[in-house]
Amino acid sequence: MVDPLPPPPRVVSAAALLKLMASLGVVLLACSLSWESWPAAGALLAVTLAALAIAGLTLRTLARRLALFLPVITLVAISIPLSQGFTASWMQLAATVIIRGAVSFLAGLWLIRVLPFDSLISTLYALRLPAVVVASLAMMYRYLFVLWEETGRLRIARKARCLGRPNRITQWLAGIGMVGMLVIRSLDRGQRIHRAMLARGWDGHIRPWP
Amino acid sequence: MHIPDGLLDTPVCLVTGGISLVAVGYSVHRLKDSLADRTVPMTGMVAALVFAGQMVNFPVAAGTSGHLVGAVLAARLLGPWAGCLALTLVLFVQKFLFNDGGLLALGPNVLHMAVIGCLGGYAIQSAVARLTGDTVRGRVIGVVVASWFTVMAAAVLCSVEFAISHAANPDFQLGRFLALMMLFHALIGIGESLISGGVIRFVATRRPELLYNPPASSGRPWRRTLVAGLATALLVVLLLSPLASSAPDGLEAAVQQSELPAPQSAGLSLFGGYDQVLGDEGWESWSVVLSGLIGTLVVFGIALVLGRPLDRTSDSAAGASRG
Repeated sequence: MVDPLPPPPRVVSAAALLKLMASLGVVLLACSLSWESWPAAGALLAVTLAALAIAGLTLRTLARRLALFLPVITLVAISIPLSQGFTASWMQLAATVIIRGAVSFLAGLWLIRVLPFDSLISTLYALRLPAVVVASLAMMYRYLFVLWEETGRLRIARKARCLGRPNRITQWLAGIGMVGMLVIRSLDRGQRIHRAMLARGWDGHIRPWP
Repeated sequence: MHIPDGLLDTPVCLVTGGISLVAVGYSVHRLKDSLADRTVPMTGMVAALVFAGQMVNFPVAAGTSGHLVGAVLAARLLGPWAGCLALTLVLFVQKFLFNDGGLLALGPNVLHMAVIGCLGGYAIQSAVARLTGDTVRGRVIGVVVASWFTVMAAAVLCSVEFAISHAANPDFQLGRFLALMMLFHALIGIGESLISGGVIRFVATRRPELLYNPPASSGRPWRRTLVAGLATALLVVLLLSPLASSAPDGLEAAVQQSELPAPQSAGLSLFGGYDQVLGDEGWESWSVVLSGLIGTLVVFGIALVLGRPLDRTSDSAAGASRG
């Protein structure tokens, strides 16, 4: 019987760790802000925007991402005065939630811009996260876009089969059928991948590059 | 469903993050002896599947649409432990690849969707399936019920976390916030139930072997779930009750505002109040913690006694099927 190879060394990338810490630091600072400390919020916002500009994020992309995020955070924040009453103090709390959320969102945007996901996976492995978690995460990352495309293909097939505009109930039934088909295809694919991995000597342990 | 950063206070995020870490860590520990070498490909694939499934939009009203959360679905496909890990990975990827949800709020999000959704959801659907029998209909009913209750449980917990985050404000009325949250989430829960139930029916009628079946050797798997649930509840009490507000709740505030006479003690209670178990002076915080622990254990005991008929039903059903 062949002895298993030792697992790959867990070497922490200082740059990746620094980026993670910087982003977490900005989020912690943002979450300590209040309505009264708006100058500090403005300064933090300016620093985050400058970091985003240095990271090469275009104004168009920023506007597109904010257009998706701001309605959501506004909806979340508005639930406070909606339940407690539209008084000055609750409106200020809602505004505080929006400010904190927006700065934290921009810090997160900066992080995903400067820290590629594969580097993040390596960093998590180096930080001694269980190998099974890191390997599952890597497997998910590997097949995420495959299943995404599969979903797109199913959607196009549905449109091609059914011309015209279906009613709402039909749309729900079709959507359920689509997710159900996606489940069957994904689990079949997962079993095929498992058999292929076993054929290549997979025993549940991560191996280093040869 | 994703909580952004800034809505909850940092201590609340850290405490819920700690609870999530323990729950997910225990799930990973349990996976080592249940799925072995299948864990990585199947968990990774189902996590990717839940993510892709969330891309399918379901029209609601006025141009808006909703999508699947997928926690109960993942638990039904992989079992509670791998399902919990898969949902955690989904939330992690949504944060670090698409910046969806908060960084600090990853802890509460994992607690609400992965831990309550998968572990709680699996426990509920198992209990329902035990009552209705292991048929396609029983499985679908179990998933429908579990989906609705896990969404509502997450909404209640989120409201409580929000109340604790703003405990310093005596005007905050948890009851009104809770009512709003439960109203919205009751509708979201119906959508989640319909989608999850429909998908499980689709799979169970075409490829039933793909659904998770608990290992036969485990005997009474609910016992471990019970212990895990009790441990989680005690941990929540231990960590969150010292942060509870001393301000009056909605009912007490309403009584005060209406200038009604203060309610008199019934005379039958063992303690003068939650903060007076260990005496009046200086021990208030510890008294609240102790009250929470006693209350949790008493409720747990009552639930165990009331749950005995369920156990007997399942035992007699198993005996009948063997005979």
